[in-house]
Amino acid sequence: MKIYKSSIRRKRKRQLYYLIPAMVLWGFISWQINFSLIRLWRGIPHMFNLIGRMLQPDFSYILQVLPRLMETIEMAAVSSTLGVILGSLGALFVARNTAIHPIIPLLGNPFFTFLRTIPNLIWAAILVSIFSVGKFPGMIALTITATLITVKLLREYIETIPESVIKGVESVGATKIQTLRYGVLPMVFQQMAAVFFLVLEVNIRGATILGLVGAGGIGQILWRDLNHLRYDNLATLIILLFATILVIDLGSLWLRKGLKDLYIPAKTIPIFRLRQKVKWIVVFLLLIVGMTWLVNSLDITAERMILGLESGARMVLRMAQFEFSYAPRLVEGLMESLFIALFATVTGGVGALFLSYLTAYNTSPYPEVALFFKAVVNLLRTFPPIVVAIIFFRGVGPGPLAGAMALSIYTLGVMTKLYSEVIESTGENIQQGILITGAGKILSYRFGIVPHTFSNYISLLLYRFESNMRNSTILGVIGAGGIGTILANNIAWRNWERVGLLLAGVAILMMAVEKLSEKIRKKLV
Amino acid sequence: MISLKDIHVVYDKITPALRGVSLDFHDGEFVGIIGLSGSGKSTLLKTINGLVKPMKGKVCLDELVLGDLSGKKLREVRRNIGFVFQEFNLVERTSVLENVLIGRLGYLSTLKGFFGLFKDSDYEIAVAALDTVGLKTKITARAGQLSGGQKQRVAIAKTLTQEPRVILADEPVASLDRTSSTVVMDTFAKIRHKHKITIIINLHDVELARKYCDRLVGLRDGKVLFDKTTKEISNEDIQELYS
Ligand SMILES: Nc1ncnc2c1ncn2[C@@H]1O[C@H](COP(=O)(O)OP(=O)(O)OP(=O)(O)O)[C@@H](O)[C@H]1O
Ligand SMILES: [Mg+2]
Repeated sequence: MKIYKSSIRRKRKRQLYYLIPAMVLWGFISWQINFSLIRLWRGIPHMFNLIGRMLQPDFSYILQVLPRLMETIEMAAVSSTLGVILGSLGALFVARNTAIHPIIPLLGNPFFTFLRTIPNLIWAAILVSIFSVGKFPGMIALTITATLITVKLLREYIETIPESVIKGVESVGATKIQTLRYGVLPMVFQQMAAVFFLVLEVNIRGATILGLVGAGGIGQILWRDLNHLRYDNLATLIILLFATILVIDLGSLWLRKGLKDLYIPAKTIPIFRLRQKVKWIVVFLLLIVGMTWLVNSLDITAERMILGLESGARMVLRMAQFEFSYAPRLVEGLMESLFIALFATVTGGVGALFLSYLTAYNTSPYPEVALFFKAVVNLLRTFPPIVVAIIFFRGVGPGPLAGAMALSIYTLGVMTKLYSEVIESTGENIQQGILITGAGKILSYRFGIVPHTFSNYISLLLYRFESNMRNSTILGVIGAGGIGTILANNIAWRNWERVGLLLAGVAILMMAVEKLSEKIRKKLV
Repeated sequence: MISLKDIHVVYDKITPALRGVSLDFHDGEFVGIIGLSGSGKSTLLKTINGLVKPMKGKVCLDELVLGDLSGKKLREVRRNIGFVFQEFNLVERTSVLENVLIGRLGYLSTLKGFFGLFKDSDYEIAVAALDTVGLKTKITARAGQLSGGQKQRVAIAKTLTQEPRVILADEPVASLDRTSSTVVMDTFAKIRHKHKITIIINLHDVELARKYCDRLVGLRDGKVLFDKTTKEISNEDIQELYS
């Protein structure tokens, strides 16, 4: 008996030993990002003031900015379409089982991984500085993001197609292209629709904020109102964006569900043959319509295009000549971004541990409470962190604190949603096993469910950390500190040698973080 | 006629799978290949259609030596040799008809095949093949929704539309239940009589092999242990093969 008691006590003590350094570390990180309760406290009235004004939107302003909103949606839709088409082709090239030559995936995948580490807003900022302010650079930036996401998702999907199915087509004497068309394309087509909506959801968020660097869309007005301190207009815009994103998310969710297992059989062979032909005619018509739409909506002259491409080439050349003397600033910026991401992950993550208790149906004291918190969590999650950051700018001024707080709230929302879903899917027996001993619901949560799902929790948290790293770079572009701010400044000054070095630094850190998190996650299972 | 001359196959330079196999398959024969797991049955079939390259020896289809073919010639030979897999290998997301039409790709140019511009005759052949395997009513169904036995019959129909001279089948009934196995084997017997196609089939079920094939080849450790007509096979032969 005594032995057990002392062993448990020792375990308690050990937990304490971990807790103290963790607290110290959190304190250090908080200090690094200038965390200050006093500043937050003083900022609260300003922020509530802003939120209060959001509750009285100026509808006449909505009508005024409606054309820009339509432009934003158009940008997202066109770039998603284009990106999914380009990305599907790319995926066929770099998937291991469909590549023409094994060397292509070997070189292609690291290249795409590198490009993926560069945030959308940075692409836009760079493109704005070579093609000048307007819709065009925004469109290209969104297309790049859409293409890269599609390549990643579809490549992973294509690689799950069994070799045997491909062999089954090859064995009739089909050529390589025919084999791709009949063995792989039917699978890819189905998946393409789902990927398109996913990309659209990402791009509508992207399109609304690209204007912050002058790349067109409603973000440009957002930025103007922010600089002119027109907080009433700003509030209206934020509500408008929120509603737009919500509608597109819901619509896309609904369509994705409907498309998932869509199969309409052709009743007879003549109908089947007619459909084969019509399918291609429709595809060609869509391509033509799409191209015309694209060219019309791009509003760029051939002259400007050539000029842009030339300066783009010069820019890439200059980027390749890293200015190594700038390395100290790079390290400084990366550290700050890292601290912002760490702070947000830990703060949001610990908060989610408590909030999940109230949000999951099977642990929440009353179902109504769960329902209420589910609504709150979805609200927190739908606001782009960049908009929340702007609200915090109002309270505590631009800088790492605002960025860290915005990301903490976003992390809290996403983590609570995901973790409460994990809790809801854990078996009743674990909770009951503890409830039976006479312990209350809270204790059964603390000693039953949380330890049981802890590895899921950590794994979700690691994903959040990766996402926060990316987001903290983006937030920096609008002035929330870290590497993003340094990058944005150097892009504005066209110090391409420095930008090259900074991008390489971001890429290396991002890839290292991804690798590390992947390793830890593998260890957990 | 297909003839194998002193075939040696070694995997990864260390695992011998076939050690000097010489066999002749005549047109219109229904040959069963039996043997323990690992005796080299699958390897033998894969060598015939060129999926596996022998280290030594020759595979001939009439006067044509298969070993050194590539590109267009290789595809032409593949078209002549149908292959039925144990796991059916259908494209499950598309219709039965589309899966069967895949068998016609070998007769189309790359471009026409890509756009699915099959000729009237291609459709007639495909429908006839589905009729032969007894699945004419399932033409428009989605391949993924069929039962295992039906999937395998669709795979056979696909192979039939290739209009091959030989069909190689690697344990085509191993993942099917008793009734579906019989239906599939009946289908093989039927097409053999109807189309005069040579059928070479790997089976682990000796009873099925004795019931359907007119000649049995026993493989053991990569060598031919016996090669007799089904009537000549004795129980001792079988016992020796599986001991
Ligand atoms: N791709 C491969 N790489 C390496 N060794 C292989 C490969 N395929 C088969 N072998 C080996 O070659 C030998 C013969 O295998 P084969 O698949 O031809 O046997 P089989 O008679 O078809 O067996 P089963 O009844 O289990 O299908 C076995 O020892 C097997 O381990
Ligand atoms: Mg085998």
